[in-house]
Formats: sequence, C-alpha cells, structure tokens
Amino acid sequence: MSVRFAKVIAAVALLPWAARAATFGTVVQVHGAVSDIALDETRGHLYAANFAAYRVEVMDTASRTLISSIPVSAPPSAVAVSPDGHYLVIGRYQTPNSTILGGFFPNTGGLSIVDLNTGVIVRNIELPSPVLSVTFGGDGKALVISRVFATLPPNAECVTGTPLSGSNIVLLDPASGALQPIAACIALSRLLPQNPSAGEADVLLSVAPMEIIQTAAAVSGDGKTIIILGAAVPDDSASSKNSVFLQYDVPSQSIGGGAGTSAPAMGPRSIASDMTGANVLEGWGLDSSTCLQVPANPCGLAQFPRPDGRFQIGSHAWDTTRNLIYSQVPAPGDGPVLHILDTDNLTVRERLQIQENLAGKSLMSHDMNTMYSASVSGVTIFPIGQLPQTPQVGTVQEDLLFADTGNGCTASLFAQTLNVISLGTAAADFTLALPPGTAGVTLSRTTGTTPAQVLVTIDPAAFQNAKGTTAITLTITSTAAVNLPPTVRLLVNMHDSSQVGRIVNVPGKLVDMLADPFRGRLYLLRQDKNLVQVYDMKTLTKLADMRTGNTPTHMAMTLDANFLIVGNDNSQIANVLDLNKLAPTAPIVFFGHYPRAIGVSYSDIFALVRNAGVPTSAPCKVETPAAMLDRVDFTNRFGYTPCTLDGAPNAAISSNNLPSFDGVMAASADGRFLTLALADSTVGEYDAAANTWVAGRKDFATLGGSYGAINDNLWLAGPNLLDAALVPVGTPFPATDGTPSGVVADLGIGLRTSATASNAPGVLQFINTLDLSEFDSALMVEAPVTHDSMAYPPVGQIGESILSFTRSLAVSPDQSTIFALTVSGLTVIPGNFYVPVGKPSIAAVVSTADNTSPASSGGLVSIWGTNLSGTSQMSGFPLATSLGNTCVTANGEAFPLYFSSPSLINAQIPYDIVGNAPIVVRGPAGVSAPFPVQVQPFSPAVFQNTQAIPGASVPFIVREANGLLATPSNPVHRGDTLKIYVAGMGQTTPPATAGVAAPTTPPEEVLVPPTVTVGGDGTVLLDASLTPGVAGVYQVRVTVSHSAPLGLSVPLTVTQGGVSQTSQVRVVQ
Amino acid sequence: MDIKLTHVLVVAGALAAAPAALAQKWEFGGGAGRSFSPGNDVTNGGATATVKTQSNVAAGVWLANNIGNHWGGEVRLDYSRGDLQLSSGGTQAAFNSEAYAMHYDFQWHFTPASSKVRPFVAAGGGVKYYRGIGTEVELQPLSQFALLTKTTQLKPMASGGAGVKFQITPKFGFRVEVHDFVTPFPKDVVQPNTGSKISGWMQDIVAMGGISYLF
Repeated sequence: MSVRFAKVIAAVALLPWAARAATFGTVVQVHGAVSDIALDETRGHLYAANFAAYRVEVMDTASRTLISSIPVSAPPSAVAVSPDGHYLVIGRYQTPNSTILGGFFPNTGGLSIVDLNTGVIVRNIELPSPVLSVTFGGDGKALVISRVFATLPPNAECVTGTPLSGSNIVLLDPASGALQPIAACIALSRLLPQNPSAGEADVLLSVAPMEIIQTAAAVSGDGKTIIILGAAVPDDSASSKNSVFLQYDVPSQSIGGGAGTSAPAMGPRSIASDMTGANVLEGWGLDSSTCLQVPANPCGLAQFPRPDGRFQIGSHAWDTTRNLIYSQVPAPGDGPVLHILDTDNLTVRERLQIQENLAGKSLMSHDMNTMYSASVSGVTIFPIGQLPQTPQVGTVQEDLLFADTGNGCTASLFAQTLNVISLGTAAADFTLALPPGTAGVTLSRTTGTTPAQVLVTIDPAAFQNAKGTTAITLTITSTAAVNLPPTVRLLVNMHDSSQVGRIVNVPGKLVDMLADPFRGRLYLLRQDKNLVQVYDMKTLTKLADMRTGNTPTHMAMTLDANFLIVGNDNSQIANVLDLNKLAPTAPIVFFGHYPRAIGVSYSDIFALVRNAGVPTSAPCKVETPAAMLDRVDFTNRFGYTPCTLDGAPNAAISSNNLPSFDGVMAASADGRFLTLALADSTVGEYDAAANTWVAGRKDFATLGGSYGAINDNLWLAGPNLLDAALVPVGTPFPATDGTPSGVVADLGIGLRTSATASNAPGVLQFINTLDLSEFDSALMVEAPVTHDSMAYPPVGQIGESILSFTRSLAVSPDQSTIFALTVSGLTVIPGNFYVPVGKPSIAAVVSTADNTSPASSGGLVSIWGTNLSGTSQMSGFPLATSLGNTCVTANGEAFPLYFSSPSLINAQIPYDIVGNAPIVVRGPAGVSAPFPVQVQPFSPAVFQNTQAIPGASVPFIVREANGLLATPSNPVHRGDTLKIYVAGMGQTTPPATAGVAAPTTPPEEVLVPPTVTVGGDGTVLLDASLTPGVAGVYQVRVTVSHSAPLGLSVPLTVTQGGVSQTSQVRVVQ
Repeated sequence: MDIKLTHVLVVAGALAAAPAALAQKWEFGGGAGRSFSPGNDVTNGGATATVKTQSNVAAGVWLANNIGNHWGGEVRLDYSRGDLQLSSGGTQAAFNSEAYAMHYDFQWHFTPASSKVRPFVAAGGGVKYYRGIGTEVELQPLSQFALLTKTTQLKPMASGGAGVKFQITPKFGFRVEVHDFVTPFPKDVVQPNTGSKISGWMQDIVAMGGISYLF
C-alpha cells in the first residue's frame, strides 16, 4: 500500500516537468536586480551591476557562478570595462541618505573606477546627477551620461559647447579620472525616493531598474560609434513615448542626434549596433543611415511589428559574424521568446524559448559564440555558437495540400508524407497535435524523434460536403527542442468536377499579386517572410525571392516596367526592385511615414502612408494626420508630403489629411488615372494630365475587397462599380456572391472574383461593361483570399497587416490563363473557363507499344478519346493514379497513369485484371461511359519508335554492339545481340506491382518465356524481364544466328503464350 | 559465290604459269599513289544522289616477270582507302571504307627487255574486296537513296592500265603507272534503299609510282 502511494506521488511530481519544453540559455540568478552588465573576456569575468544591493557582482563566465562582488556606496546603474581590460567604471545612481530619514539625495551620483588588476576601487568621482550609462569607445575613454540637470533652450534636445558644470554627457579618462564635457542633452530617468518617511516615495518596489534608468547605450563593433537611447522630455514615467537618440563619434568626439515620439513607448530600453554604427537597433526600431542615396538622417529601415512598449522587458544583440540580430521584444500574448532576425528587415528566422524575460543590456562575446543578457532574475547566458548542435525541430513542408480530383477518383491522393526534421545536428523529440474535434485526419504517428516521416491521411468522407479548401492547423511541440516551430497547414480541397482551376500550393501569407506582362512573371508578396516571390507564369516555378521591408503590404510597377515598388507597414521605406536584374536598388525613404500602398501614374508616383505622428509644418496647415498621400521623388528616392492634394495651378481645395491609412491605389491601363480607395469608403481620383486629384467622394459606410480599373471610365471597389467621376453606377454585385476579392481587366471587359467563406468555392465572373451586370459565372476550386481569410492570429514579432482591399486576380499576357490568389496559394484557371467542357469519351483502347495490339494484363495502354483531362501532365514513379483531375478505372480498380491529356491517356493495366474489364475515365468534367475491353493475358507488342527516323516508325530494338536502335542504317548483323522492348508480356517472378518502377535486382523475369525468330530463323533467348526503372516495359534479349536471312526487310517475330507480333528489320552480314 | 570462285581460279592459274618464265628477269616492287572515283547515280523516284569513293591514298605490291622481249605479266595486290560518300543537293553522308584488289595483268612493253626505259600497257582481271568500316548511326542522311553499310563484299574486277618502267641500276627500277579498276556495283556495302536504283559499275582509277627490285 505504501509503495503504491509513493509511486503516485512520484508520478504526480513528474507531470509538470514532462510537459515542460526546453529553453535556450542558462540563467545565473542574482539576489537583487541587474541594471547593467560588462564583459571582461581577458579574465573570464562578467560584471553585473546589482542596483538594489549596492554592489557589482563578479561572475566567472566559465563556471557561470558568482565568485565575488564589489560593493559601492550607491545603487550601481551602469558598468563598463575599458578596452584594454584595465579598468571597470561603475556608474552610481543617487547617493542614499544614511540618516534616519532614509531616501536618496536627488542631485547626486558618481563614478567609481576599479583597477581590475587589483580589484580595488582606485577613484571615486562625485557628480551632481545620477549616472545613467557608461560606455567605452575604441579610444579607451568612457562616455558617461547622467540625468539632465541643465535647462536647455526651447525645442533643443542637445547643446554642445557647454562647460563641464553644465554638461550631463562627459568623457572620462579612467586612468586619470579626468572628465571632459561633451554636451548637455535631454536624458531623463526616474528619481529615487528622497524623503520616504514623508511619504514621498516615487518608485514602487515592483518597478525594475530599467524603468528607473530608461537609458541604454552601446558601442559599434569597430568601437568608433557610441549610440544612446534615452527618455527625451520631462516625463520620467514608465509610459514615456518621447525618446532621444544620440550618436557619439569617437574619433572626432562629436555628438549628434534628435528626439522623437513613438507609440507604444520605445521599449525595451535596449540598443544594439552593427559593426560601423550605420545600422542601429533601438527599442523596437531598426534605423539606418544608409537608406538614402546621399546619407542624411537615418531612416526607419524596419521595426518590430508588435511591440508592447515596456521598457524593462526585452533586449537586443547584434551578431556581426553571422549578420543576425538576437532579440526579445515582448509581443502581446508571447512569453519569454528570443527571436533570431535578419539585420536588414527584421524577418523572423526562428523563435527560441528562453527561461525568463530579458531585461536590459545584452553583450556578445568577441567570438560571437556567447551572448550575455541582463534578465529579470540576473544574467542569462546564451551559447549562440552551440545553437546548431542544440535540439531544434521543424518540418520540410510548410503546407500539405490534399487536393481532390473532384470526380470520384480514388482516395490515394489523400495521404501525404510530412517530414519532421532537426534544424541542427541534434535529434529532438516531437509531438504533433490537431485542433480538438478535428475529424477525418489521421496521423501515422503523433510522437517521435527527428528525423521522422509522418503519413498524414485524409478521409474524404469527412469533407464530402465541402466544396472548397478546409485549412487545418497542425501544431508541433517538443520537450527537447528549444525552438518554437511554426505550424503546418493541412489544406484539404474538395470540389465538384464543374469547379474550375488547378491549385498550386504556395505557402505563406500572400497579400498581393501583380502580373508582369513584359516578362511573363507573377510577383507574389509574402508578408510573413518579407519577400516578393517571382514566379514564371508558364511553368509556375519560382525564379527568385526579393527582400522587402518589414510587413510588406502592396506592390506597384513603374510605368516603364523596370522597377517594382513595394510598400511596407513596418518600414519607413518603400523597396525599389530592379525587375531586369531581379535585384534591389535604393529604397524610397519616407521620414516618419509608413508607405502602405503605392500608386503609379504616368507622371507621378504616390504613396498612401501611415503617419507615425509627424506633424505637417508651415506653410502647410500644421496638423498631424493619421494618413496622407506622399508624392515620391523617384530620382532621389524620397517621399514628401504635399500640403494639399491639388496640383500647382489649382487653389487648395483638397486637404491632404486622409481619414484612414487602410486603403489602396490602382491605375488605369495607360497610367493616366489613379484611384484611391479607403476603408471608410473615401475614394479619390488623380488625373495625371491635369496633375491634380480631380474627384473625391464618400458614398458608402465602408469599402473593402476587390479594387481596380476595368477601363478608364469604370472602376470596381468592393462590390460597387464607379464611373469616371467615381460616382456609383449600376447595382452593387449581390452579397450572395460573397466577399469581393479581386478584379482585373480581361478580354476587354472586367473579371472579378469573390468568396462566401474561406472554405467555400471561389466565384469567378465577367462584368458586362455595357449593362454593368455579371455573366459567365463559374465556381473556382477554392476561395480567393479575403481580408478575413488572411488575418489569422499573428505569431510573435512576425508582421501582419492585412489591408481591407485585396488584389487576387491576374491574367497572362495572351489572356489564356487566369491566376487567382487563393487559400492554398495560387489557382490557375484556363482563360476560356466559361466554355462548357464536355464529358470524357473513350474512342479506343490499344497497346501503347504499337498503338494497335490489344490491351493485356500489366500492359501499357493508350486510351484515346475526347475531354479526357483538363491539362497535359506526366507522372513520376510510382505512377499516380490521378493526373490533371483524371483517373482511369476498370472493375473498380484504378490504373497507374503515365500521362494524361485531353485526347490521350497512357496507363498501365493492373496485373490482376484479365478478361472483360470495361474502362471508365473520370475527367475534369465528369465520367465517361464504360468502354468495353477484353484484357488479354498476353499480348506481346514491340514498342515503336517514331523519333529516330522522321516520318517513320521503327521497332524499339537496340543492338547491344553499339547501343543504338536497329534501323536500316544501323542494321542487325548476324550474331548480334538484340534488346527488344516489348509490352504486354504479363506477370513476372518475383511479381511486379503495377505503377511501380521495376528494380534492377532481382530482375523481374516473365513467367512465360517468349520465342523470337528473325526471318523464320530461331534466335537464342538470353533473358526476358521488366526493364528496370520503368513500369510495364519488358526487355527481351536474344542473339541472332549466323544463318539468319539477309535483307532490307526481314520479319522479326516475338511469340508468347501463342500470341505473335511481327516487326521488320534489316539484316546484314 | 560461284562467280567469285571462278575469278580466284583465274588468278591462281596465272600464278601457276609464272614458273615457266622464271628463267627471265623478275621484278618485285611496291608503290603508292592516289585513287579517284568518278561516282554513280542513285535514283529514287524523281530524286537523284551520287555515290562514290572519296579520293584517298592507294598502295600496291607486285611481282612481275618478262615473258618475252616485249611481253610480261604481274600479279598485284592493291589497297585503296576512301570514305564512301553519298551526296545530294548539298547534303552528304560519308562512311569509312576500304578495298583490296587482287589481280593479274598482262603487260606489253613498247621497248625490249634490255631497255632502260620501258613504257607499257596492261590489262587483266581479278577480284576486289570491299569493306564498309564506318560507324553505324540510327539515321544516316540520304538514307532514302542508299544505306552505307558496315559489311564486306567480294566482286569480280577488270583491270587496265599504262605506265613507264625505268631501270635505275642493274638491281633497281622505278615505275609510274595508272590503273583503272572496274567491278559490278557492291550493293551490300552501298545498299540501295527500297525504291532506289543504282546505275553502272563501280570504277576506281589509281595513279601510282613505285620502285622495284630486279632479279
């Protein structure tokens, strides 16, 4: 009894640990709160300023233990080690009042300099304000920033030339203790309680040091630039949205910078730089001084899409060796997660679970193999260099598409393999989970160890009522892996044979599509990876990935078709991509504006921008619009905000203060007219010939969905048609069509698409430009994308900005193919989708070998007819039983298919079918009538080659002497060994499987050996077996006798099971 | 097959007769030169192609004797190498080939046996052995006319020629000569395709110079 009880206790105790996932990094706990860290790699020490305990902790980095401490007289707010490793400079916050009154003296602070060779504080320097940060430059001097105490001129963030007594940014020589004034700048922090006994405490116990200090500083990799981020106005509250950004040039000892606002606040108060200081990560923004062709002010290269603005949670480090950023910027709903990001646009490469939230500074070791971060419990150490050897789990596939043929073809399509892999060299366990209540999906295993293959099987019956694509999220977790793998989409498509289109799976959040008629390309905007994906329209193969800013939203091509401009919601730039070179060029910079949509007319380029809060200035009306239209100076690559939306000759009648930044622009075909549509239903029209916005209206409560020009005088916005003056015309398309998704000019008229739900069919229909009605409506195999279908829960700092308007249709230049952006990626639709397709009809079934011999068991047959398949497709091995929405059955058994086309299907008859076997073709438009076929046990037929001699057919007989086809000019010689390729020789030993390529070893020998004669003269049979590497093709090897008759046309006869077939060959001496 | 055998016998008979003249002066020599072929037409329907042996090197060895003051004879083995060439309208097909000719020629010299310079005319016969030795391909150009084939064929041959012999020293002589070898067309090596016809005989003209040992 007692033993059983003990086991229960043990099991219960282990449960939480069994479910707990692994984390990356190790926390070294500190009794107190770490406000700053400094790394002394010479001694293998890390110094952690323990703000609350008035000491600097000394950590041995090898053993990861605290080995000693350096007590100081006041809360240490900053620590820094000189480049030569000689000195540790400790910044002190306010001096405590040691009297019975307690509290701290407000106008106090100082520096303590430790000689690291002796471990003794060699100098204490008192300052009139709390020290916020200490940072060494490459010159061996430390830049010290303290709380502002000087009164600065109005609107000034920084004043240089101030005396030491008036400077709060000073340069310290640690050897002499000399201070040199640099500037007086706004850099605020919270004051510690001055008279707590009188109830004046202004810092709660729960407020961490980072919220007190609010200033971060870091040095570039080359030691030449020190960057500082601090609170900027007399607002030392934790929610300050005003920040000052300073950049100190070490060689010239000069400082510059500016102030700005942000929403949310510019937290975490952490800062990191690249090697030169040209690119700086501050708070949740990535700024660069290299955006402009002529560098001036830094631009907002990218920003974290979902910061919560907290100062005290999060951290950054820049890995200049791997060109990566490691960062925690808390996102709503996200736990302690370290993001690995690209340095140009903050694309999330990977998300790692970490033990606890980071809190402040992070440092990289010199070899970039270890990252040290101040964290909420102390210091977290990340072995970055060991990440490849650390268990991480992922999948090869982002999506698994299970596409129904729509005509009752067999269910073999509904099983696919998911490859679960290790992202590094270490194996990891994994667990797969489907959403609760998921029916019709079976996983061959739900747990395992990487690498592993998981067979995902779909029961079509569970989805039989669906006429579109059902997306099911497959979640992957692991107890050993430190990463958070993305989910996998299981896309189950069911549709009727009458639904048009073929799905091409393109994973990711595709938010825009643009056709390039000049190059036959499609440009797909993948928002979650910050990419423009370039596809060839004909082959639908991906040609290139081109990088964008963060969270790209919209694309437009310049009128000369040489450049693609990409607007971004989390970058203050629009990317300009050279379409001839498929390479980036200098971006268009928008200061304080996020270009979300781009419009190109033949004279001007506009950007609909989201304003970060920058007020317009005189002579414009001073205001701070949420959204506006910026004009683009494409030559110099920057955007500027016109005061009004009027052209120069006109009076100011249209304010450039837009009610919403949720909008798009679309141009007419010739680029003369440009329309703007906003989600609040505001629409506007720009006439490039008049150089002004000529029309503006607001006729609806809201607008969204499809938008675009059908011609110069007719536009579609949502379900509404607008005339040349943007006045609604006709009757809005009915709500029963669903949410409008896309519109494109096609065949001189309009083509639109919509969907009632993401798992419903898409609706495709033409727009009659005369009576403004819809016609030739057809259902697509799956739904086009809509705002709602794309806006699923975002993950961490992966951007998501879904516009209310969608562009989901494109047409090939010859208008033969329509491309729709749909739930699974792309749906390719024939341009003549409206032409009724007849049911498949079989005209003949003959041996593929010679196109005349009868069908036989295991043989290859050519099925001739009409409407057999929608497209021409080939299969690899093992042969698919469905191609191009077509399958072939006899007696309820599916045939493996080599090839399918509208008029011909090449298939293999299964070995167990013999005798009466009516063949049925299930094509894209229905099911054929059964075609009577008597399947013979044997029907040897030599394959015919129609390629070797133009206009002639020769038997597929190869002379082994030279490996060439026997032809009149390569005749059979007496004594030759011939390899004769034959179909229809029945079952083999070991037994062959239809549709499976025959193995080399063991050879699959025919059960009934054939005889071969040449001119009636017998040959020596060497062997007869299935040809390795293919299915249903036999090879018969014989040696021709030396008495074989000579001649230009000598009969060669293959006989098996009493059935003969004769070919003609030339025989010579 | 029977015809070939007859001609072999003729050559053998000529050789058998040689010992009767052994009392006369003998000559053993060899030479080299070049062969030329005038070509034959191949017709297929209304189209025509030309087949010939491309000009190339030739060589021969001979054993000759003087039967009388003006008459003589020699048994010869001649070799010629040259691609079979089929051409029509700017298109060509070529196939490596070679031929051996074994024959006996009677010679009538215009000057007595004791002369240092002896012009002569020759006529005789024997056999010619054709060999196609090229690389076979699946599709030979102009194969609608004829198929150039990797095979062998023996044909009876008529030979005629003329030349001049020079006695340089008592033991060595030099000669220049021209021979014309004519055989029925070798239709195994150059196989007319279905519907094609090849007209005439196969003619080979060989010009050669050589040296002889006199004994």
